[in-house]
Amino acid sequence: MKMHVPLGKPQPWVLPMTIVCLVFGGVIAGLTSAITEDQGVDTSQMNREQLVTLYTQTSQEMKGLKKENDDLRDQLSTLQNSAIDGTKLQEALRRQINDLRVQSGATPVVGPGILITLDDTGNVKSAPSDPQTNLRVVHDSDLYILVNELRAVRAEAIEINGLRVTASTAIRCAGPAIQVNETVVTPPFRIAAIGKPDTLFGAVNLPGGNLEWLRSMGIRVQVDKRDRLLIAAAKLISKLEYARPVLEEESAKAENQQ
Amino acid sequence: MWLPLLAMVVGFFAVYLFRVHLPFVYTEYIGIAAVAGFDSIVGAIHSSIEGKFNDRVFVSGFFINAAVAAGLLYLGNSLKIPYVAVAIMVALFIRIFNNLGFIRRYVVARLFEKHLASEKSFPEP
Repeated sequence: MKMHVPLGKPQPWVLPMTIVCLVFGGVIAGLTSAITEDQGVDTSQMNREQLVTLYTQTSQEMKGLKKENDDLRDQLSTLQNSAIDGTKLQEALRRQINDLRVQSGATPVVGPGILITLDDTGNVKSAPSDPQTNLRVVHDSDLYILVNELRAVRAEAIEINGLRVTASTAIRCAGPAIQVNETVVTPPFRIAAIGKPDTLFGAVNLPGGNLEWLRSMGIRVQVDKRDRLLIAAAKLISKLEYARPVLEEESAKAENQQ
Repeated sequence: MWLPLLAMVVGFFAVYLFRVHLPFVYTEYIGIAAVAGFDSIVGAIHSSIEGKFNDRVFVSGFFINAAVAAGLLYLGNSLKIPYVAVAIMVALFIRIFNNLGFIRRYVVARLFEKHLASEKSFPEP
């Protein structure tokens, strides 16, 4: 320890310390402003004028952003329109339409898949009063559980006794019979599904699944993998009465409202 | 000794009133730089008490340490090394507390034990 410099007297460190502290204070101020900026503007401490200024600033910013948004939307639609002429887009559209036609059931389809046959046990008709009868017939629920199962493993087209199962298909119980697309179907039920045969086969034959249960109830169940299945087109594609596609302007409006 | 404090207040309000908006992403770097700058200031007070103060060492140390601290943090973040900021902070805080402890002992000795301080019995840190 050489010497003790008493505080309070002019020292050689005063000038550089002053400069450095000026910078340091500035850095701290910058830091606080950066932190408060992140937490959003604290409006609770502002007076009327500050709030008005903030409001005008923000609404001007918003106007600018809205205009930018509109410009971009215009650009997008012009690009889309001009791209329609392009063969690439035509090709993409054609492919999309084909996919939609298959999915909606508008066209017959062919491909590999599985064929499931369900038949009631032979003794049902002979003993209709048997309380066990109810368990020994195929119900509408059995069919739609099966359809659901097939859809879950990406079956691309399904039909029941020649009736295409589409997005608007209803499978329901109508008294003693089962209706598919409001057409009565009777046993034996022949369910064809196009998809990856192994996957479909595995899904419907899952241990503890519905088919196993039906088998245990004495219903004749047969599942075959097929390399080539033909599935018919839907007989009737329902006409739309209420639903229509949302136009671009409408979607923008809806977004604004939300 | 009040001049630097005054300068700090002036610097604070100069930047504050100019509404310099730093992007939030840089907050981490500026914070590290500020801590490094604080370390330099405390170190300078320490060295001036010891009578070893050198203005060039101090001013260069202030700016370069701040820049290096922020730069190291940037490097660590770029290389995805976890907790670089914590590591730098620990290193800086050890230095800051050491220096502050020295200053505190000096001030306490000066204020409350004047008779001792005048008798060259000021303890080594």
